[in-house]
Amino acid sequence: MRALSLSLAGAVVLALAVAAALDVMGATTVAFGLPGCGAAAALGAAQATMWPALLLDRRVTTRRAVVGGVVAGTAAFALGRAPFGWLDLGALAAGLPGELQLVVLPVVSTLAVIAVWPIALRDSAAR
Amino acid sequence: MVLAWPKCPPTRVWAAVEAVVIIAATMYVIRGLTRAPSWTVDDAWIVARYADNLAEHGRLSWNLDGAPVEGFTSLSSTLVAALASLLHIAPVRALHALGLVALLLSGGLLFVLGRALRAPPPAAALVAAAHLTMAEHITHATSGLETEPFIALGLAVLIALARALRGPRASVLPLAILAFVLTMTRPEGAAPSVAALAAVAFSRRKDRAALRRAARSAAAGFGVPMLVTLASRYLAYRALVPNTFFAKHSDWNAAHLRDLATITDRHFIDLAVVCGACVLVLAVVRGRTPWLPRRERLIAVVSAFSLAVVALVYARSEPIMDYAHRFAMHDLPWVEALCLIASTAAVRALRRVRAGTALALGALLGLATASALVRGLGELPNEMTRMAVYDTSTAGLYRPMVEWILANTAPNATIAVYPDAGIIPYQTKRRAIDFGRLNDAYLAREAHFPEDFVAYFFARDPDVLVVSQRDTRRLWDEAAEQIVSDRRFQERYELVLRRDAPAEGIALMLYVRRTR
Repeated sequence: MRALSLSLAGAVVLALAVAAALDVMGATTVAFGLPGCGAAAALGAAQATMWPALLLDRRVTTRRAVVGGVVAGTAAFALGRAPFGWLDLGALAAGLPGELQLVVLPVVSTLAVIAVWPIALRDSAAR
Repeated sequence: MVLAWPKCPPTRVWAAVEAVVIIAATMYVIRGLTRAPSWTVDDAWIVARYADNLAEHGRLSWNLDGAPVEGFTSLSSTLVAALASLLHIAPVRALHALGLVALLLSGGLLFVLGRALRAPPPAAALVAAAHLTMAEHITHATSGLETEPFIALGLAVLIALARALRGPRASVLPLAILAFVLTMTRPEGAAPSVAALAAVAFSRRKDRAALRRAARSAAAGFGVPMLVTLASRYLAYRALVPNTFFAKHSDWNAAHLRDLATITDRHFIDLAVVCGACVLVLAVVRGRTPWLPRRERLIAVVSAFSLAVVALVYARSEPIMDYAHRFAMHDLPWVEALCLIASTAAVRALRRVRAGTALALGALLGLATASALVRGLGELPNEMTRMAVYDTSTAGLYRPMVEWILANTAPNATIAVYPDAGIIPYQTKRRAIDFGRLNDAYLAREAHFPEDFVAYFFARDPDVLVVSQRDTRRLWDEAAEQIVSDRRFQERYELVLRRDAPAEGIALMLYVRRTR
């Protein structure tokens, strides 16, 4: 539970940091378009999965944490760009003002991939 | 637990799934084609005019008199259309048939390419599904231009290349012949053709006998026919490339790259990223980078080289008639080859990682393909509207012009068209001056300023001028404005017909000369 909370917190902090950096550069996710949103989501979810898992659970090896991060990030990317009516995070984010898009996508994507990353942890624990 | 896919589920089950996906996607294409409005892009009529002139008068030229010019890009399409004309089949119908057949074959060609690369199923199905559900294909298959045949031939060249790379005894002749046909279909086919033959030579560099056999086949199927074609072109038209190359030559621009980015973002990026993740996971689990087999590596290099060369050439070309990302569509064979190699590596990687991770990533591969599918389906209404609007414009703008010219001018009259030189010259069969430059060597190569166009117009002194209005206030370009506002024009020509397409803000005007 603690890892989970930190994952979400990590996603928000990272997203805000990226948003601030983009703001400094004068760019927004609107300018980056869907690939930008997908990449932001992937990065946020991957980081939010990998680091807490690595730092909080001694049974998790670096290799497993990276695999979990890659899977979670990829899921966030694919889910973030999925153009289905019930899953259209890109359209959801596009309706939000400015940098909020960058915050929402990683958070929603991380929530969506929570079901995925424990797989990596369980595999590691079993080993 | 490790997934053992040869047993669970068996490869033959995946192979069946792959075949079903490709057949279903092809059926979807057929459904789209049956619902598409009947339309022909104006440039296809240019090809038809050359075809008729060749079939009826033995002269592959725009006008039957004067210096010949090569104002078409696809020699192979023109020859097929001329053959149809000889057989009393309308050339435009033959061009449509070519496009339809090529599109319907493309799913099967991707399947065969997958087999030639020994891609584990369903790798080819993922790419074929993304390819066949691209709505732009419906537009191009029914336009009458060579876009779909070029894509199909590009895939065929890749299949022949994969087979030629199987071993030193594999035949190179099919690759060489297909490479020649590809280059005759569009000149940019030369880049992948030369790269593919070079890849074969590279793969046989240590076996002198095999290299000599490959060189003989390459010369017989590609080198000699190319030399003959280039020599004939130079003798007939005084140029090594078609006049369209000069007509479209422009300053540096990124229009083609933007188009390519749009179609790859819509249809292939998701799949490529998930495939990359699959390979990355395997690399992390195994602790070393998975390496592509030699054949896939060479095909990836050929594809990347082709993309780079074509992008470089198009960066100096003005994308005229770039509807439905037409010029970027010519890159599809090479983009899809790279995507197929990535999905092949991904499916192989999934067989080597733990079951949970493999299932999660496999589901994401399916999601990525489904996203491409949904985007393709979402674009279909736009493409249908595009075709219907174009057809309505043709009926409302061009047909009245054709009827007026046929009724009011002599068969030996000269018409100037500015810039659309398709259906009006084809259906009126009058001598025509193409101010769109595709069919005029002087305008394409030597006229650089509006004054050059004005001087040329009055030197040629046409009986009729049909000129397009780009919007409600301006004619097509500055040179057209200068011609129509010139004192000589005002004195000698009068406006006799005007047709508007208010929804698009364009209009077509027909001026006729009062006195000589």
